[in-house]
Amino acid sequence: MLSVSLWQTPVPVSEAVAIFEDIANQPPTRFLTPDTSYYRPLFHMSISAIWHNAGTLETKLALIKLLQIVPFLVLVLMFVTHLRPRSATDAVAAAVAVAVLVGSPGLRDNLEIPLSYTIVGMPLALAVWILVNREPRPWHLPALIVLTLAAVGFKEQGLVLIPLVVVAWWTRAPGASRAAAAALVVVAAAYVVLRLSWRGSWPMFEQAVGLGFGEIEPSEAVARYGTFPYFVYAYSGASTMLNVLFAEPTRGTFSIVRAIVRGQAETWQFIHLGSSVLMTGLIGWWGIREAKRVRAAGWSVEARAFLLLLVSLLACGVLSFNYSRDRLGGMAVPFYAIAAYYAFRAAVRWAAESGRLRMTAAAVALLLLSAGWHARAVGTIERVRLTAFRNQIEWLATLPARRLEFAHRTTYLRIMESMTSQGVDRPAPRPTLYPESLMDVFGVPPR
Amino acid sequence: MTAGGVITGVVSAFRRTRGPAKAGHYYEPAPDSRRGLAAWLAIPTLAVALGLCAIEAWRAIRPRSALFQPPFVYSLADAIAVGELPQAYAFIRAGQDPNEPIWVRHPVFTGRRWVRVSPLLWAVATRNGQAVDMLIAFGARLERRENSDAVCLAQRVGDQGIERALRLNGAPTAAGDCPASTKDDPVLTHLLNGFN
Repeated sequence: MLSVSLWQTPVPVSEAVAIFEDIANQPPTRFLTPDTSYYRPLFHMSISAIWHNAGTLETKLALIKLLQIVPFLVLVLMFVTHLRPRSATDAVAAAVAVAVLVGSPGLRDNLEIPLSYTIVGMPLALAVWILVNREPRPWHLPALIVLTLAAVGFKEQGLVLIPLVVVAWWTRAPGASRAAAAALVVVAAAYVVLRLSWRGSWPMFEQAVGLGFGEIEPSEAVARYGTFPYFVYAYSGASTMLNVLFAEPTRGTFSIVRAIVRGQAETWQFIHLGSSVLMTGLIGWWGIREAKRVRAAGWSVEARAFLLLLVSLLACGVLSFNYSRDRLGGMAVPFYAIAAYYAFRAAVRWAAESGRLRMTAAAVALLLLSAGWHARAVGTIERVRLTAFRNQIEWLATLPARRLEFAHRTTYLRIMESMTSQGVDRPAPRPTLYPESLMDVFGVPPR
Repeated sequence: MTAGGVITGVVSAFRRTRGPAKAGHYYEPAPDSRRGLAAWLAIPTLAVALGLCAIEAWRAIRPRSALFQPPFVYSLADAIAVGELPQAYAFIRAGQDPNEPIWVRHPVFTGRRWVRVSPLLWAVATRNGQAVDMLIAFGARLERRENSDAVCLAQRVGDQGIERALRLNGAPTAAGDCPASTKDDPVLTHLLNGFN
């Protein structure tokens, strides 16, 4: 359903046309030079290859959509195949874990066409996790390097994979060799040297920064924190980590807490916050249990999963120091979902072996947790439809303003006019018109 | 796992699980308790899966159902008035001239009279800025006589955003030329002298 909605989504005006303009104006090799604060050479070269080689505009846009849809499908299918539930308990835990994966803000925010940067990296991260936990094969080393380079090439957040492999090696993961860890450390060092050699052009704050209950523009952030920006950097990094764990803050702003404090919270906000807090609490309980076993029994897959979740979170936080967005936690989401699987399964087993009272209480709590995440997963589908609808409205309602604003950019205007038909002629998906109370549960705002 | 299986599992889980452990007693976990608990916890997954399947099946059978589409509008005027931008555009795409006056009636804007106005003026009167932009994007000509009062109307309804958009797109600047109006004068009718 989600993929079908993505397929039917009009490619938006904002971001997309500007990206295609860049692609049309620059030779593909131009994107290899890291002279801007954003460095996504593989993303731009992939789009460029599509743009310059696919025949019609329709084919180009279809392939660009597939660049978003295929990684998402691969991620979900690989996730389910990896968990491979063998019992009823496993199956229930796997279902909840898939809901966690699909319902997480880190995934939801990465479904925006054509910004496929991180949605490509997420299945690559899962593939790395699967490889390091398998018996070693000669091709594992080149595979790990290629997967990491591909993820980094699509977005800086791909660097998350490097500490993951190093920690996997440290925890004696069968498929993570010393050579792999060393090779990726070299890759990381080379990347850092390459980026720092061009750092003169980086602004202090690239985008608007969320702080507390509000948000400030980059110019204001420079004025207020320019002499010592590290507090804001730390805050933004922590915000990204907390967003994965607690669905709050979003973009660095504690919007749900603000709504609760002001008595304006909606049902979906309670569901997002509650289900995340409960799931993170469950993961904490399971993770500590697993960590305690390490000393006696050595590193298990579960203990390693918990540690890699922490490492991926930390890496996502560090890499989003400049500003926090939900999508920047995307690389940690597969690990959060894996941890959710193990934690939920452990909780079911624990509850089943408890007395009636405790089991009943646990059954109710786990049911609510599962229901909350399933509602969030449905919310993701409806959000994708809402985005599709908004993209169409954007095409219908912003053309005159854009024709004026970009009058001096002929390529931009040419591309925009050529894409208008795909934006307006076919009806875009719309959110299902559930009763208002249900819309409130799924978090779909009124149009 | 079928719905019947879930119910059976849930019932068996709570029936076969022994009471809480007491000092000096050890209760073996009931072999079915885990399966039963799993069945109970499968309820959200099954509910969502069945619900979504049913809804998508209904979407395939009745794509125009009220669950999937807003109420159908019968004219460009209605589409603009209710803010249904895609449906408004559908009329233009189907061949309706965005400059051709349309019949409209409104208790406030026209004093319940049927009047003919251009779609652009109607969009301004209803303060539908998106429709204004859509009409300009897809063929409404601001220099045409039917649309020449758009800026005055935007001033009259007090929508600075629309007024700004009209001016930016080349609407005649009519700051001093707007017809005088009285408080009780319906917004549209005072602009339509000689037009109906």
